[in-house]
Amino acid sequence: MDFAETNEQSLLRESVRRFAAKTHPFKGGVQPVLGAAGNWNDIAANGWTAISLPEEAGGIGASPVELAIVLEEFGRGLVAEPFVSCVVLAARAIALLGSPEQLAIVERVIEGNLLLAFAHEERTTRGAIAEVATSAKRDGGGWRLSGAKTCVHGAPGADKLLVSARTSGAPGQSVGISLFLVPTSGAGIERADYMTIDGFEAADIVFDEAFVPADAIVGPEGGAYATLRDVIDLAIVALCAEALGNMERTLQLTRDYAMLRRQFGKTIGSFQAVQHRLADMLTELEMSRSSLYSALASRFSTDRTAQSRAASGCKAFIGRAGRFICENAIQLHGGLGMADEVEVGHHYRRVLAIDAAFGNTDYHLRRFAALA
Amino acid sequence: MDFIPDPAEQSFRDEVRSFIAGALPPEIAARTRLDFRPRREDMQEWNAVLYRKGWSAPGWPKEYGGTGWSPVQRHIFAEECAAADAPALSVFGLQLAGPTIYTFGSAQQKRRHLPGILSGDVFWCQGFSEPEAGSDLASLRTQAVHDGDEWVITGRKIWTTHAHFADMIFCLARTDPEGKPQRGLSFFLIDMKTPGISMRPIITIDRSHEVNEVVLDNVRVPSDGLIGEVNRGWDYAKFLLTCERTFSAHVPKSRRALRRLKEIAARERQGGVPLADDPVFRGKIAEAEVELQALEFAVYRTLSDAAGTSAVGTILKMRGSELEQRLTGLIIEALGPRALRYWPDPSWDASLSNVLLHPEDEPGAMGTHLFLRAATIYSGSNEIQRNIIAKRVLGL
Repeated sequence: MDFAETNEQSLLRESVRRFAAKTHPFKGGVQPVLGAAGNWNDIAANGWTAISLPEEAGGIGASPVELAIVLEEFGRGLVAEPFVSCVVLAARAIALLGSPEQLAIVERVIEGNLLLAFAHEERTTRGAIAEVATSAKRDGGGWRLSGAKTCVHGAPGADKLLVSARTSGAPGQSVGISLFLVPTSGAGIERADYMTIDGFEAADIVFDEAFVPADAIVGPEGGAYATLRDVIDLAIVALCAEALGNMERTLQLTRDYAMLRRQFGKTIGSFQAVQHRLADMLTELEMSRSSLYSALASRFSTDRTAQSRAASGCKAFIGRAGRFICENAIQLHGGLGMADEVEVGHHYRRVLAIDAAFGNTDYHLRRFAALA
Repeated sequence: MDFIPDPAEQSFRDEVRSFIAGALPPEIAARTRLDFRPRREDMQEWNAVLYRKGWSAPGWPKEYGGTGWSPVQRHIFAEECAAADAPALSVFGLQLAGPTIYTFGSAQQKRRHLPGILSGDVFWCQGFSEPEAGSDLASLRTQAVHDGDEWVITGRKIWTTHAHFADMIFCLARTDPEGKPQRGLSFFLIDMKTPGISMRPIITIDRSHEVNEVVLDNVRVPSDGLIGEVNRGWDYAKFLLTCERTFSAHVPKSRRALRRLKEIAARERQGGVPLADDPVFRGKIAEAEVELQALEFAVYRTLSDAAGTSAVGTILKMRGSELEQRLTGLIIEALGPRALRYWPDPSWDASLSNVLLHPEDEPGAMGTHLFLRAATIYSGSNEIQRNIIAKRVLGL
């Protein structure tokens, strides 16, 4: 184990931080609007879309450490881009399962010419990967998809969806889930686009006998579960890294405020109650970073169960710690913490969203215990 | 001490429930159900309905328009209103300015201001906090200078809830810059239309427009705008903060939130299992309900403590606010990723809300959760509440 960042890793971190500061400077008190221009081209141009994707598919096959560095800086800088949905989930799943023709899609994602969105979670999924009820029934040479996907990140701006649907089995069974490349609109596809509270674009999508051709299926029919689990486990670690960036920035902002704000003739940071609270926040932050590193470490083994368990442990920890740090940050900012013009509230909204994504703390504690 | 049940309480509850069912306009209840920030029109209309019944100020002395109900009856009434999705009435007139005026005001001030508060025609806001005076309220800098028959007031107030639609503001201002800060403050009632008053909206993290920054620039207030005596304003403010205490436990509101939480937990499933059947989540609901039950009795105890000497009154705001936050947290947890959708609050821009809203989408749930992060900050932060308990109750 070596905890010191290499030169390349430090340079990567600095360049993502610079990107975030330049392209996503903090702006509060603004009504979020669908379709606002993003900076995907820069993300691709910098080569970050290739991180975590295998070399066989055109990626740089970098370790999960590089992925965590990129995401942490995205969190710190409140970069709201569909990176996890497009690259870590959809593109990676195709890279692991896809036919040679489908790997060309992954290359286009890496180049920044194609955006994918990962449409897996349904209203009753809530992190339990096998809880897929969306069905795919054979029709002539293709399939007809029926079901409803919820909160699909990046769908409004995506070129294609990667949709999980059952070709066999019942919800709750890991066998029978397949993956399909599906257009983002068309006959039998109804999308409700919206912003999420943390400034991302997402959609609820209803499929009503939407037809996809034979070559839309990605990977083995009914056999996508193991890959789904793997891409989601890595995505969970990536989201935890992002939350860590939010949390560290939040602590920094709060510490700075406590040293500035004066009441009763002294800085509020002089009060022992405030000092102890900030110390507790720092403690949770350092434990969260440690938890993330333990999850990153698990990605260097080949034990898939250990990787799932580590991802769940980290998600459960950071889900709770993120809320603790950010809620206390707002509290210590007093009235100012409630103003949308001020940064802390924005970090809070992001950690709430990360906590709810792919299973919350309670779910992941349960999965962690079950995988013992 | 006894807890012999009073059979009259059930018939009172029935009477109240039946009145509300007949008198609460359905469109108002439907809007309140969505849990966005309350509209002035809705609060005003419901206030008028209650006023015609004589029920708009149950906690006031009968001579000023109160109902003469017992603490339990007042609680039952508040609970039934909340449960029926009646809009919460603006507290600034009925709970704060009104009691201050009938306790310390002149006969003329009572005649002038109390009817409008009772009827709900006149909306109030509270000019206390300033950019440099939050927890340390006594250090506030807004100045009031006597000029002939008038006071000239200059300063800046912040986090002023409802200032953008209020008719009147009650303000603490400094009338004596020398000596101890608390001894130099006075309490003023100011018409919001007075020249020199301007404001800007402050959008909060729930993306609603509820609070403002109010600037007073040489605002001329007639002498009858002063409540009581010069330099006694801090005493009146302390009285007002004690009034806030019992309602700030928000038991009826939390009971409504608990009911909503159970409905959502019954509806939302993971696979085939409703969240309500998940032992971990069910346990969390139970913990919240146990706390609520205790808090309700803490409120009864406080309302029965006429001398105000019991320690229990000092815990209400703190535990009440923490419980409110716990319940909103459980609600958004129960909704899962569905809670993440951004539903624009019409208070920021009415044109934003052109989407048909379904109650079961709980469009106001996340906004309410975000807004109520302020519950542990406003009305005396929970850190200050702990200071008060340590000093005044425990003598530390």
